[in-house]
Amino acid sequence: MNQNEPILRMRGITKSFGPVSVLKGVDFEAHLGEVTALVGDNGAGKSTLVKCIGGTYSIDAGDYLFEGRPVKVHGPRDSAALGIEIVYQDLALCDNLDIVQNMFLGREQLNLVRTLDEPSMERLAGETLASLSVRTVSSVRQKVASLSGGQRQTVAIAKAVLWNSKVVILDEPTAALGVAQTAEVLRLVRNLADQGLAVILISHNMNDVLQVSDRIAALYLGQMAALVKRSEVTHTQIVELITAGRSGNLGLPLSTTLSSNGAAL
Amino acid sequence: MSALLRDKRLPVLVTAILFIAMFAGGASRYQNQNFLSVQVIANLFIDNGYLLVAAIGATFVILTGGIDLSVGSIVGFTTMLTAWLVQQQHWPVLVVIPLVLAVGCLGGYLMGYVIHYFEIQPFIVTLAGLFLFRGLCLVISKESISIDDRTISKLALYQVQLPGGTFLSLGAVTSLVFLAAAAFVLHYTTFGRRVYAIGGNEQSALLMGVPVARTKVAVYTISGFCSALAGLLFTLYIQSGDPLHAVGLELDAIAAVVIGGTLLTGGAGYVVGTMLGVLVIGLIKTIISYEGTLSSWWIKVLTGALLLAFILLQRVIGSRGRAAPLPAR
Repeated sequence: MNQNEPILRMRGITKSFGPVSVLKGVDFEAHLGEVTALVGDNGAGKSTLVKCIGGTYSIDAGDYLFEGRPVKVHGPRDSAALGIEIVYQDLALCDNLDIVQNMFLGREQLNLVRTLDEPSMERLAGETLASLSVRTVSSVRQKVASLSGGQRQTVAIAKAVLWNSKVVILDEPTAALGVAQTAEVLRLVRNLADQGLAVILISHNMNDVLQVSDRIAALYLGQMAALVKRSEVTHTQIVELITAGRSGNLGLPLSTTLSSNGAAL
Repeated sequence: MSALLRDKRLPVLVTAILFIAMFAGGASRYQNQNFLSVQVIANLFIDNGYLLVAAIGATFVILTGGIDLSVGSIVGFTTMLTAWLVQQQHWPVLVVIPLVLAVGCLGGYLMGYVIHYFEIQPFIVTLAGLFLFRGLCLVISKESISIDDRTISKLALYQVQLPGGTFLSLGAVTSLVFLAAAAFVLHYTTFGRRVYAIGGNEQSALLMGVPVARTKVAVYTISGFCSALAGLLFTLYIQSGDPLHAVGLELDAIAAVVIGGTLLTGGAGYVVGTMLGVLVIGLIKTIISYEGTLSSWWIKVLTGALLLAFILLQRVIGSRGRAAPLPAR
């Protein structure tokens, strides 16, 4: 059914916190060069799924396949080593550091005497921002505290790109932004996918989802209601998938809530 | 103007201007008493070298958003342990120095470990450290122990000659070398970058792959080391061990850090500012002693007033700096 093998594939993922079962056999996949929107109501398990992908949570059962091979991810460093970057909504940056310092935090470049190689980091940060056609940031030595919401998202996304990541996960990147800034960030999201990365976009905003995504994955109470192509669904169908778990012949079967995956794979 | 107000270096600049103004004031008031000389500044380092080292340790901790209240007690304990081992157990000084430094590191490491892994407020953990080390002083001896060991005396009286007839003590030189090392670590190494990142936002730093646990424990270990080193310098300065040495020194250190422009909430500040903070506090002492008639309690009064002024200044700068809109939380 897919033209290409998905770079990231989660099969039958379950995750419980004590007696609470948050993910009940979820299947999910992301493809290079595509934006996959992950939608679902509050409590559907979006954040949990993302944290499982990122390694913050360990999965109870299920397969985690990256580039077709099963992998074990035990922490954020493991997923980063695979080339998966997660941009968290409001925890993406340290306010008191400047753009360059933020982009290289945790992976600073060192020179021959093992000290920070500022000129090289500054140059790379500038090049990355330029490659994303970001012109809204005046200086890479600006403190992040002085940036607008849209600029912050831009920097956080650029940070993800800097590391030649293959998969970039964006958690509600437009949640706190105005109209113009949202458009700028969405342009950047599309740009990432067009550059060949797999982008996973978590969003509550249907307009954003419909505007940039190639595929839509709808979670409903810990189950994947549908993973469909953008072209195959309408706005109304997505809303129904999110709120009821099914829409017409799409989604979870009416009779049971235990079925792991209803349709469209 | 607003760009200037937003600059994180402004508090350091203000402290520097304050220091120069105080020095100029002193120079004009005590013209006949030879106040205007390089030796007066050198003496500031000689008399406050131990405070500078302790305050550098406190700077690391405060930059991560923590606090260390055990500084004075570890300094006191170090003077007691050194005096007891050298004077009463006749251990060689060259063995005692690394030993007491190791004890300081161990104390700091344990406190850092408890703070991070048991998720307890640094205030409480280091308060426990304060009582523990002060108590251990009294376990060694209730009496003060004066040191007449020849090596210690030689080290204490050693003078480093500077051009123009000025001199520095070994303690002052040590503190200055240590200051340079601390500035280097904070601004040119990965570790320093991590210290600032944790102070900015610990959660973000963790998600961005900063080894928060290792860094935080290391910071308290550094503070413990600084306290022990400050204790050694204090021993050299005063040539005795006393269970009541350096009571409340941690508060002087924190005051110096804050007057030097470091934010108590972490993430912003410079060790150079801390040095200026120590110099300002030292200069207050010097001026009071030149004045002659004022009680030494005025040192505390003035330090308190300055501290208040600087916290208010930080507030003003902080609110200007956050003029840009923040994302929803």
